[in-house]
Amino acid sequence: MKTESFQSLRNVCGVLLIVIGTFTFGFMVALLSLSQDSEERRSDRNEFRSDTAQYTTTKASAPTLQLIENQTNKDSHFDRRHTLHNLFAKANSQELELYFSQSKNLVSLNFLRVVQDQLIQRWSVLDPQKALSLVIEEFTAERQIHLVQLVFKEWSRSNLSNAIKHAQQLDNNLIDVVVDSMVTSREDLSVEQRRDIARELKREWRAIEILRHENSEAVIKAPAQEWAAFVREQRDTLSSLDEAQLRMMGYIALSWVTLEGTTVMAHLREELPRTTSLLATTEFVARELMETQPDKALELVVFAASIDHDLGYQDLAIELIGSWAGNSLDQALDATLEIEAESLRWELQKKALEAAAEIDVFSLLSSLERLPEHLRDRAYALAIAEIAKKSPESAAEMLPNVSKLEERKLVTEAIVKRWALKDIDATIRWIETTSKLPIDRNKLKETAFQELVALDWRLAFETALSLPVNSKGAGWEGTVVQWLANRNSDLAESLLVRVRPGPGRVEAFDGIIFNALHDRDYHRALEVFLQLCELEEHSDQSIFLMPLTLTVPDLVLSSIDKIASRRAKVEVADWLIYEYANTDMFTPEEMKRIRQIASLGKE
Amino acid sequence: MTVSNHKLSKPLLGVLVSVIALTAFVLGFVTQYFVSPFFQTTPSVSNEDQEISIGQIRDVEELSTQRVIPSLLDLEDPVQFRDHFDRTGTLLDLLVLADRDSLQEYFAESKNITAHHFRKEVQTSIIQRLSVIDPRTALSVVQEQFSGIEQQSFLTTIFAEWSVVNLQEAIAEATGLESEQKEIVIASMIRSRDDLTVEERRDIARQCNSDWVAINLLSDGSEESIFADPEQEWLTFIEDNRDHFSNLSGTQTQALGHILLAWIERDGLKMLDPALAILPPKVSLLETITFVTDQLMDSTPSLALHLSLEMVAKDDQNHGFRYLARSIAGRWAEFEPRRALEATVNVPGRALRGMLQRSVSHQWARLDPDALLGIVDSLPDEIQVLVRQYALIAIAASQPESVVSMLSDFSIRKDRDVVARAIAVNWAKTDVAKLFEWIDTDSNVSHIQDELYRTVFNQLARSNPVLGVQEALARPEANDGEGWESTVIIRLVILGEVDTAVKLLPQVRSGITRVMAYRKVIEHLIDEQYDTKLAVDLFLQLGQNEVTKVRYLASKLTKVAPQHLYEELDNIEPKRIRDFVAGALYSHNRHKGTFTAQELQVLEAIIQNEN
Repeated sequence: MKTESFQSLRNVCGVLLIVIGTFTFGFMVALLSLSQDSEERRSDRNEFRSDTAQYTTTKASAPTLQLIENQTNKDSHFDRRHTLHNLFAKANSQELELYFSQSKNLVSLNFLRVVQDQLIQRWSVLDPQKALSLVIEEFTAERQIHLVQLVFKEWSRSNLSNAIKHAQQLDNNLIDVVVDSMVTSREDLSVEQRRDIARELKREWRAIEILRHENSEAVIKAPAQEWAAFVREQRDTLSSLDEAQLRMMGYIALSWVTLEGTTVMAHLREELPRTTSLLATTEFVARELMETQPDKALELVVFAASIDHDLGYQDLAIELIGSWAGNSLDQALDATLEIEAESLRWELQKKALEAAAEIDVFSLLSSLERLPEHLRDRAYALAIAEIAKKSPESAAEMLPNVSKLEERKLVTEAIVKRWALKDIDATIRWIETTSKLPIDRNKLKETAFQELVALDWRLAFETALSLPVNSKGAGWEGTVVQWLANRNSDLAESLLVRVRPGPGRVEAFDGIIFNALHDRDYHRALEVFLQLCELEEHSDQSIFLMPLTLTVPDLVLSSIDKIASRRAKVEVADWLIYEYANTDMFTPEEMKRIRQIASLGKE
Repeated sequence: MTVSNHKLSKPLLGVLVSVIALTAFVLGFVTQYFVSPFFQTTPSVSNEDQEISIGQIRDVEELSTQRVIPSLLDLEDPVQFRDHFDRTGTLLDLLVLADRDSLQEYFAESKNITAHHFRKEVQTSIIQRLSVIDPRTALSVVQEQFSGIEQQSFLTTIFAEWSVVNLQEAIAEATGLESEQKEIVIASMIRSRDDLTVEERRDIARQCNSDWVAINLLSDGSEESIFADPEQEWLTFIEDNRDHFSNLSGTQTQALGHILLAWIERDGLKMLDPALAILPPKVSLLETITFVTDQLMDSTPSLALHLSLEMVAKDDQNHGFRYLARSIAGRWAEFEPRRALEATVNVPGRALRGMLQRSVSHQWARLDPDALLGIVDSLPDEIQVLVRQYALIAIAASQPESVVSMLSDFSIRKDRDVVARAIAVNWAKTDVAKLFEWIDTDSNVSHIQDELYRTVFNQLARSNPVLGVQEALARPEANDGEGWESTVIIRLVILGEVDTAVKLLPQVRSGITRVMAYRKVIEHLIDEQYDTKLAVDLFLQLGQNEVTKVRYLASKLTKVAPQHLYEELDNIEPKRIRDFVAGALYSHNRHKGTFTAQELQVLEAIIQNEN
């Protein structure tokens, strides 16, 4: 019995042992199998580690951009840039697609920008057309302008003609930056070849600008021939040149003028249709020359003005001389002495002196004796006018030193205008107490108030109200309101109730009525006129009647019965008869009525 | 029961044990596959693996430098590289290992790179790398090697890196720069540190006493407001800048605008009163408000207009707000003309309302005058005439002849006249002959014929004075007897084209026409006093009957050009004018020392002879 039990127990233990052993064996086999898989994958990654040329990434193993962003967020921008560059350097198109989709989840704007820039640039190496489509479809207009440059930077390197062909299909604003990018990118090419790139995209002037900025060899070597070619190629559009053509013309003219002098403008004038002005080209060349050869710039403008009719030449010349005189008055003035056109010469000399006074008035004063004699009085006057800007009181003390009448007027006006803004009371006192003023005192007070109205109408108005009426019985507040109406007619109208009766009030109404007429608000003009007639029944409203009757006689007649002032009503009728009796403006019945009203004046 | 009955046969036992063992083996195998995933933390790649990947990239950097890298100047040869990207990579590889001394050597070498743009790229990368290692040295290099404007792009690079390497040090260095450069580098640092919060980035600027730089940059880069409490920001800004508020720079004004914009967006226009109340006295917010309205234009133009109108009412000293409102109305009309016009209907102030409506109508007419003309009758009565005018004037700009038939649409004649004038101005540019025919025959303009002719000849004086004079000479004189060529001459003088006017004078018809034309030119020459000799010569060209009409000019000439006039005395006709001139010369100049005693005697003799 005992032996059998022991035997059974032994059998059971044996079976259990077998079960446990085989279970364990199966478990271990499975474990080993899984370990081997992972070892193989690690081995793959180690391949990448050992040989970058044979580096291959798999979706499963490559780091995501988000991870790189987190891991490198303390790195310098340089290091990040370098890391990303190496990441993308070996990526194929599919991987770039993956990275692009990952980039949409990036947090840092800086990192995103660098990623996008490098990714697009790398993509442009592999498939520029795809890169371009991506840029156009996926990015804002602002980013497109930047990224498209990267695309064409690479594309122009890998296949220039193809790049140009695709560039032609872009929007104009993008073509501009693409041209710049390609011309910049292909520094290995000759000047002529780089110009060709831009020429094919009808933006040759942009290449010229870039090349000039590089200070490379002369960009336009034979301007006369280039001009001939330009005329030949653009013959059909010479009468309406666009921006690109004008710029091109400007660069050719600049090179030509630099080589052969200002008279080459005559050649340009000969070839162009009469209706095409040379002003834009002249202005461009003159501005380029201003910095280093201001004398040539001015000579150019004066010459161009003599062969080409355009009102802008005088303004341009005046601007240039002003700029020149600010740096060197003597040279600028000397240049003007050569100018034959008298009117232009005088304008330029005035401007030169003004500019010199603005830059350094005391230097101008100390150099008076060196100036041509006929300019000294004007120079002195302009200097004092300049001093008046900061210290009108000092300028007032210098006024007696100015002898010539025209110059005294200039200085006096300058003093009053500036002083009025600083201290209106002192200005009025000075006007009233200074002897031998070259301008009528009332006119000067008017000037003072006009200046002040622009800056502080309240002060102007209250000051005017505080003054007694003038010799004609008009309060100065009327002048203030009249001038205020030019800037704010509504405000002026609201002040009418405070204006003292008499000629001043008529003047105030004058400002509002005339502004209404100017604004073509004829009904308003008439309404305000009717209001004036009520308030100033006995005043002379004749200054309004002519413009009103001439401008809107039909409207005036329709409102004639509303005119409160009998005097004004009769005058209106008289004016209508005077202007329109022999015309078909009014019907016979209307004219009969007008004559009836006019006859009231004879009663 | 026998023993053999209780024992299994051996073969059967063997099979049983085998089955049990096999089952156990399978169970063990399967158990591992099901259990093991629960003990893995990442599905495929562990963090350690990820670090290894980035490390691998960096190892790649290390390893890639073991290959032969060309020298800096070799990089310039494009043949060596497949593409720019590749070349840049090689450049970066070269620089990443370089120490400070090497980088400085590279910089010196870079000056020999002939390709301008590539040289810039190389130098920028060198400076960028140097800024990582030693930003102070990088700064010195840039300040020594480049001029003001050229420095700017490098400064941006340096401080972008410096702000990462050592922010406080970078800020301290920035504070010492002159203001224009300081603003540039502050902006660079703020852009660079987008890992910081808005407040932290603003703090960078605050430490440099340039908070406005951060405000502008961060506001422009964010769709939401960066201000938690715009009202407080406003108060703080005003207080910080009270002493020099009237001299705020453009960027400071812009920052103030951002704050104001945020406040308006939060509270509406009711915030204006408290905002204005704390301003220093006599300061203008025109620039700030202009900025704010610019920002509002795209999204809420009506709010922009209301804001400007509120300021018109609140700051009546500053007339600029009226013009701002006008500008806004016009710009709104570029994309929503009808809404813009409707917004003007209830504007208080008749003149202001009219100004806005003219601006909108003008813009609307420019966009599509035909469409505008089509809907005029559906607009409020008070603006129909105005809108119709603008539409027709716009059409007249390109097709003046097509507007002629629409003149009778206006009941007030003056409204019609305005359009007629526009027809004349534009038609004069293309077909003067047809234009004159219209003026001569259309009864709608018979009352303003002379006015239209004047318009035409003024236009020709501007565009083609030679043609203007030719056409004038081909036409009879105006009703007052004056030939239209004098209009051309007079207009030329007004426009400052005196030299052209002088050249054309000989063509002018004699009589009143010549008198008017010569008078204008001579008066100009006298007033300006730069060629009084020419003034005298022109005066002498007038005929005997003509000169009597401008005797006063002779008097003026005796004061400004006495000597020359004296010399030409014998050429002055008729005699009575000559005598007059002699008398004026004598009386104006006898005590001035202008003439010698002998000359004075001559004048006296003429005077006595006259008597």
